[in-house]
Amino acid sequence: MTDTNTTAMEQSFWNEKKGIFSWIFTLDHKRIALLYLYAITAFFLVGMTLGFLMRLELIAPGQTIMEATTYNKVFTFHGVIMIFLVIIPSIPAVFGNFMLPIMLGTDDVALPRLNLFSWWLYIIGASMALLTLVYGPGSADTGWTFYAPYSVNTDTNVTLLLFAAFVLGFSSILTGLNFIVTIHRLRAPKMTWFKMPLFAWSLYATAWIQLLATPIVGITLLMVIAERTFGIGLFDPALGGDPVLYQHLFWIYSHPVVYVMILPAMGIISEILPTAAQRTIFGYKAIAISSMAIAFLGYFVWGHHMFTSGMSGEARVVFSFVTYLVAIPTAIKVFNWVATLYKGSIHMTPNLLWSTSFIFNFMIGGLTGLILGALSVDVHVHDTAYVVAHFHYTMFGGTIFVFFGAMHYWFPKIFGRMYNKRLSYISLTLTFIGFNVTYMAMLIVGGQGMPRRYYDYLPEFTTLNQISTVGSWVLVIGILMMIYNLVRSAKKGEIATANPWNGVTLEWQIPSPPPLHNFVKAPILSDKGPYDFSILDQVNRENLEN
Amino acid sequence: MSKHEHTPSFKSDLITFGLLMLLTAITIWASYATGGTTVLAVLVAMGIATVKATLVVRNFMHIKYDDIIYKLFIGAVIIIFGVFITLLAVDYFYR
Repeated sequence: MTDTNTTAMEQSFWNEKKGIFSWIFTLDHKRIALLYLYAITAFFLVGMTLGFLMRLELIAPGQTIMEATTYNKVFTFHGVIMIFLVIIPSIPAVFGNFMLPIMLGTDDVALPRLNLFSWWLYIIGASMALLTLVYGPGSADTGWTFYAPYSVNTDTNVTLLLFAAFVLGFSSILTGLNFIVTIHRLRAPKMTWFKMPLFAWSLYATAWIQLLATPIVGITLLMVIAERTFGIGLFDPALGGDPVLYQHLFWIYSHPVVYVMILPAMGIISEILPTAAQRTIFGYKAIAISSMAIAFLGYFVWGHHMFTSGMSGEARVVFSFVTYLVAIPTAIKVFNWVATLYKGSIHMTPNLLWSTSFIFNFMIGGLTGLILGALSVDVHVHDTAYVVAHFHYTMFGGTIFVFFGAMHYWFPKIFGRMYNKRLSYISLTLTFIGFNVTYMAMLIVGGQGMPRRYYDYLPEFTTLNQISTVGSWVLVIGILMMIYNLVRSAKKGEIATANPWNGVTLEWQIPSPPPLHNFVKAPILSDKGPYDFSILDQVNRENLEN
Repeated sequence: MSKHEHTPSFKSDLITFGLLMLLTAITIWASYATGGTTVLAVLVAMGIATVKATLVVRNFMHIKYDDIIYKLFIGAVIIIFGVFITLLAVDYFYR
């Protein structure tokens, strides 16, 4: 068996071609996915360092390690990196690119050249963003939301950063377009819509948001650039513009994009849990349709980010009401995940624990979101650390935790090697504890009234800020330990089998790592859908014969 | 024959083109007839533009010949756009 796996490694996409150009000009979806993975990991480490430094500044009242203006720039760049360069592309660009064609039973995405072009746009946009740090009047200090009129008036490097976000937006649009075409046109014969894996469903819902919502923010950012360059008077009240219009246009995109960030993560959870419980997912159709429902309803709730912006009272009431509708399909998913585990034959794995950690964190993120959606409460906690903690519970405790979980789930498939499980349990424990200490303290201190985006605070907030900062140290240690484990195992880990978790979706029916064209023979498709574990023996037999 | 292989005739494309030109002429005429800058002028111009866009999407972009799922998604996009405008109006008219 080891010989089979060693041969798989030799015949995999890793060894098909050599040299830097075989990577940066590759059309193979798996290599493009890995290009994204390496870039996103690098940017995540930069963003994490900035977040770590911000928490260090907040360990005591007054100036600790940086001035107020530096703090403004640091939180701006932390936000821009984590949102535009890490979370938005993370799961679709890495695991979507790698796994979607395989899960659909095809050899690549529908438009491979466009896929490579998306990655190059990502790198160009990222380079432009980094350039703002060293070029001209200094790094932007607007916050990642670029609110007008400040973004129109500040003399920092906002224009270039806006253009970087514009370019990154196009990368996202093209990735979404590629996935839509791939799902429509390249599904394996007999794989009907309701026999697609749920990760593919979540990517499909996500892709429609990327395609339809991103152009709105693209144009909006160009409007700010035009305002800064020509003084047109779109958003600056001094020129007759309307700053609330900017917030409308920004959040029309930026609320749906929250679902670009979380829907693919939900799709991965729907893959990991059936495999861990060795049973079919509970409520397949409900989960698939709820993904589409979240994508659709997500367009109508943007105003809950603007309750204190000066928007009309009537609009605030409408947006508050509509916000609650999104909770319904989200709750359907959580219910179905828990029901999938109930009485399942649960196999304890690191990826299962990352998934259950996600559910725990996301429940806190979701419930605090309901609190923020209530108009009467939101006006009190708006722009406090409570909002920051809520956001991190959904995006970090949600999407990033699932990203880590997906790394542990698909690591043996991608790299053909297994990581050190003991070390992964330790790193997960540290990350989970560190995360919750950091952000629970932030949630409480925000509820007590500590405003966000200040480098200083009143003395009564000291203890909770110190707890939060110490939590961030534990969190960073956990993450670095996890990265060390994965990086080391990618080179030196034990050779993995084709199906180490006993999964039945198509990626577990091909060698680890996959060959260049993914499938050497036709995959087994069950008539009962993608999570039919009655075919597991057949899948494992075929794997041994490969 | 698959729906995707259907090719519209030159004659039908020419009729669509003629209709678009006619509607353009009506738009110009209507702008004078309605005073150019009145609310009515804007409504008439937008109404004619909507009809023209529908003709382009239906005939020139071949949605007429395509699967129902594409028509559904275009419908969903129009609904979403309508909701954007409605919700923005709730703010702007009551602020």
